[in-house]
Amino acid sequence: MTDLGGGQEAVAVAPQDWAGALAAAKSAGHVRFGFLTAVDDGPAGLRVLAHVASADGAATLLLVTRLTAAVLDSVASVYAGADWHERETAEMFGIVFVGHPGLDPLLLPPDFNGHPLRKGFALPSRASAPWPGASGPGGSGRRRATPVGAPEGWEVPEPEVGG
Amino acid sequence: MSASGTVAPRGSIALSPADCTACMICVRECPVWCIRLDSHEEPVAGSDPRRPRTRAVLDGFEIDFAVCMFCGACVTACPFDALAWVPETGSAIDRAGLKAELSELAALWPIGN
Repeated sequence: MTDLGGGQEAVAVAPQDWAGALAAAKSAGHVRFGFLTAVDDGPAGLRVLAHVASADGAATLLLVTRLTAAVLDSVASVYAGADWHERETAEMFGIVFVGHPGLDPLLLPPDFNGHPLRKGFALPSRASAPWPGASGPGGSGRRRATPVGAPEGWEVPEPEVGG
Repeated sequence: MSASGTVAPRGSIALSPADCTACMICVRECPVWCIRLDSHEEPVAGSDPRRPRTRAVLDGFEIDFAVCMFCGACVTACPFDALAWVPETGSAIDRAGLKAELSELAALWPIGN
């Protein structure tokens, strides 16, 4: 348990203890559900975070788990509000929440391919749009870098106009 | 892009062309690719012919405020402090009208700075 100050605490949970930890948090008085989401830490794998709070909101608890595989128990039966958050986390990160009543996409259209918040997912519009930063000062092309946030190995499309 | 008359701490981003060296760092740092910069190189008179020197000259600069997410990465990254937040917000009748080019961005620059 880590004290973050201001009534906030954080606790690391093993993936197999996830549902139990959320249930224990609720029994201990954290009856308000805040959010559930994930972070793609690249080589370090996926992290899932859940934020719950006491009824008056004064005491908050952040539960964090590091996944080894993109699977985790659903906590929608513990916190009803987690239902939509798990649907969004599933479509954005490709995590399967076992036991979820209906893990349909929440925001993405039905024909969408891929999991957009994974670090390896490049925006489709980037693949065709020329990156304005591809040419160097004076347009000589002396310096080259990759755009901010580009996945590793992503190829910079050629600029449409030379310097 | 015309001024809408409202004021916000991050209303728009202004450019000081006199300080801009066309180094392209703002263009490369922008996470949403909303900055376009055109420049050309000119020889520096009197430079040693064994290593002729050139300098970049700014020809064009455009920020598409329809795409800009007002993160300020460009303002922070500019090594010459040529970009700055100004409180004036912009407005337009269509999306294309939110593209602000060099003269507009320079006109936003706070007077006396």
